[in-house]
Amino acid sequence: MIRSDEWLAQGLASLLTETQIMRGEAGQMRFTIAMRTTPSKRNWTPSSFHCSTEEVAEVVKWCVKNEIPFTPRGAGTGLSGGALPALGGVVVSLTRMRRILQIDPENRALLAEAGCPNIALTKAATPFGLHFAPDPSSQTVCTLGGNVNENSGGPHTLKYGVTTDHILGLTMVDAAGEIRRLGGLTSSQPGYDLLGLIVGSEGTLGIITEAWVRLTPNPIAIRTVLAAFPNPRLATETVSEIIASGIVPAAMEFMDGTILEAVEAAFHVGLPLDAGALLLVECDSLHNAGQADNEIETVVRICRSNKAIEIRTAKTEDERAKLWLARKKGIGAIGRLSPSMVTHDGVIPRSKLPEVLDFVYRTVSNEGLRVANIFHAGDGNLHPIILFDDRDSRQVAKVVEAGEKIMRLCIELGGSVTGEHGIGVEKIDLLGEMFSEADLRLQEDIRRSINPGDLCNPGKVLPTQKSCVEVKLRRRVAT
Amino acid sequence: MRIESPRSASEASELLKHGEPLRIVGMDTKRDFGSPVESSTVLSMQNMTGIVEHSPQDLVAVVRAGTPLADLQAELDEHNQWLPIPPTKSPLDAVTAGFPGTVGGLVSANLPTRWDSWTRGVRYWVLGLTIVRANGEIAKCGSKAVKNVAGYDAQKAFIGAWGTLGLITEVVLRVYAKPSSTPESNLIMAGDWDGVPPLAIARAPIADALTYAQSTFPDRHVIDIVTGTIWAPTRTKVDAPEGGWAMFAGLGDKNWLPAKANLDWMSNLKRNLDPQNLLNPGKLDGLL
Repeated sequence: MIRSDEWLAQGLASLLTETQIMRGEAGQMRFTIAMRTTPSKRNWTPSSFHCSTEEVAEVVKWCVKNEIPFTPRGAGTGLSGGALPALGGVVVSLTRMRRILQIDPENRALLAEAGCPNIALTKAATPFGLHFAPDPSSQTVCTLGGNVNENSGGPHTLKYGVTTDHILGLTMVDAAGEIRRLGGLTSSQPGYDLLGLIVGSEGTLGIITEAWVRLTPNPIAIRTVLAAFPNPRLATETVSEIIASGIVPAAMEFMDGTILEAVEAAFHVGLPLDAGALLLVECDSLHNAGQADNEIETVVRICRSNKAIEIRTAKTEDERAKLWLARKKGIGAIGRLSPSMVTHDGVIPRSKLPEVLDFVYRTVSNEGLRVANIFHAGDGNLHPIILFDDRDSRQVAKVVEAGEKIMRLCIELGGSVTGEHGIGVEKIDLLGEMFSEADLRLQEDIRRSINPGDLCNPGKVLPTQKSCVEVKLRRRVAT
Repeated sequence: MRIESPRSASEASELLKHGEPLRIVGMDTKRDFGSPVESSTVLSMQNMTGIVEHSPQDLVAVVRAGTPLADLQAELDEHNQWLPIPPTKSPLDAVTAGFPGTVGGLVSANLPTRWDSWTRGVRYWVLGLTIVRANGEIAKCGSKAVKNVAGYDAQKAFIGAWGTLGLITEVVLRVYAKPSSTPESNLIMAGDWDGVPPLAIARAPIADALTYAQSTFPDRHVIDIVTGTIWAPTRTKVDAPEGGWAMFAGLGDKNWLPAKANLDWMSNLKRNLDPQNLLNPGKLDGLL
């Protein structure tokens, strides 16, 4: 049911205080800035800010009663539009629910509210020698609730597993407005794995308000190397060889010459400018330092045999931070090179990395465009960033074309169209290329088992949800 | 009792379309867990065996669900790889290794092993599944990539579902290079126990595991102190640890001690995926 924005705002005012409601152009601006994309004006929406699970439940119940769509939102750092109110309605912002409620070092667990920034979890756990393993690049701002909904990754999830492997329990408001608790301090409960279904459901099964997360002991030894290669091919072959050797590094990140050039121009880190690609590899150990030493020695040997032109090793935490700088600042630095860019998120079997990256460079340059690559190589999770000018509509069409070719190759090779960014509204068409109708019917049956209605974050994830939405976001214009 | 042994997902699909209740059997090593299945027809996985694809460089294997774990391990071993399941030299080993049988059984039961703190366990290894649904439709979830967030994480519904939501016919697994040494034991043992069932498996918050085990199974138990997992021989139903769970073998329909939460969602899943209750009917009685 279409209601005027003023009508929605007045309704919310009967449940919340005025400081909990954002409306008018301020709200619209907020989404425009945070998403770096252009939601259609019709879709801007009052957002409500919540300070308790009970308040979220009240708002959801009110929305259900009045048949108004609602969309949960954290820091809005997502890259697939999951937090956009695709059908309008109410945006339920969790960013004021940011408390850490309980730290239980003995049980290696921590309970926090959904709006708590990812980095705050690790900060709270540090005095106990523990940390929260998922570390997406946006970790200083992105929220726990967003991480749970998107099943976020990050460099160190190569060894330690993505978010779903670190969530023990949840408090959520279901799609009918009832408060539910799932899981707890222990994993693998008998019964169906509801927790596993809700993690990664992109906010379409309810609104997560709190989570018990598993904390991971800090490694006693960390060894980090940065290797420079003459060209991307030698670096990706090194990645495949390291994986095949059986070593699971804590992180293995790839950056190409374009990234290198941008980072160097912006931050003057002293990177080897003649390199065509960099590989950052980190090995760590929880129990014995010798293991990390042995692993990194093997890594260095493989780098050398693949003609690495320079290998830097970190001896101190400071030096380690320096080696990581190019990776951490890479995406931001790209802003210098081009007015617009689009970031993809395909995943492939890791042994195919060399040929797929060749394909990426070839495909994009055939369209007369530039591409920069910076990604989690150890997982085979590509993030080709295509550079373009969005004022030129011919370029935009070429960008879309190249992106789709790359995604189709990922599907052909048995991989995925998204490794960590999610389907959201952006990749809803691609999901139908990756899965058959029968596969999607199974997903729809799972969805309606937990959320039988169509008001909770509608228009996301499943193509069956799309018919009612005017999806204009064929392309995602990021950062 | 009739035994049907389909040779492929499509043969299994034809069988399921008959609409007859089926007891799904791999090597039947976990038979006594959960409630007894009420069905006179057995769907045996014995003809759905073999490794479809093993890519040593990717550390990924695609395996038919009826494949005995021992066969998979033998194939992986040729490349110095494995699925990190503890060896089972003694009956007690088998208990703390989750009663290894077939690959499908491993995934369907998702039982803890004594290496869980090190390997993260079965749930972590499953990258994708092929499912024959109760209505005969064949559906896939996941992919062959080690990272994937496309759509719902649908395979989670079948991991630990004891075959009650769909028939798993093929599994995409992470595999690992064999390490030079296995980790030191996290186990504390009390009493003399050869590991013969009936038995209880419980998981308590780590900090409470020892106290729970000592008070609940004072004579004989094994505790994994890092994950809070407890194994014990018992013939009586005991309470689950607070904040944890317990399951039993050999206690008929009293085999589950779940948290009493969200059973409506679990029932919805069962109703939407197997409306006629054809797949392992009764297996989760006492839980759902």
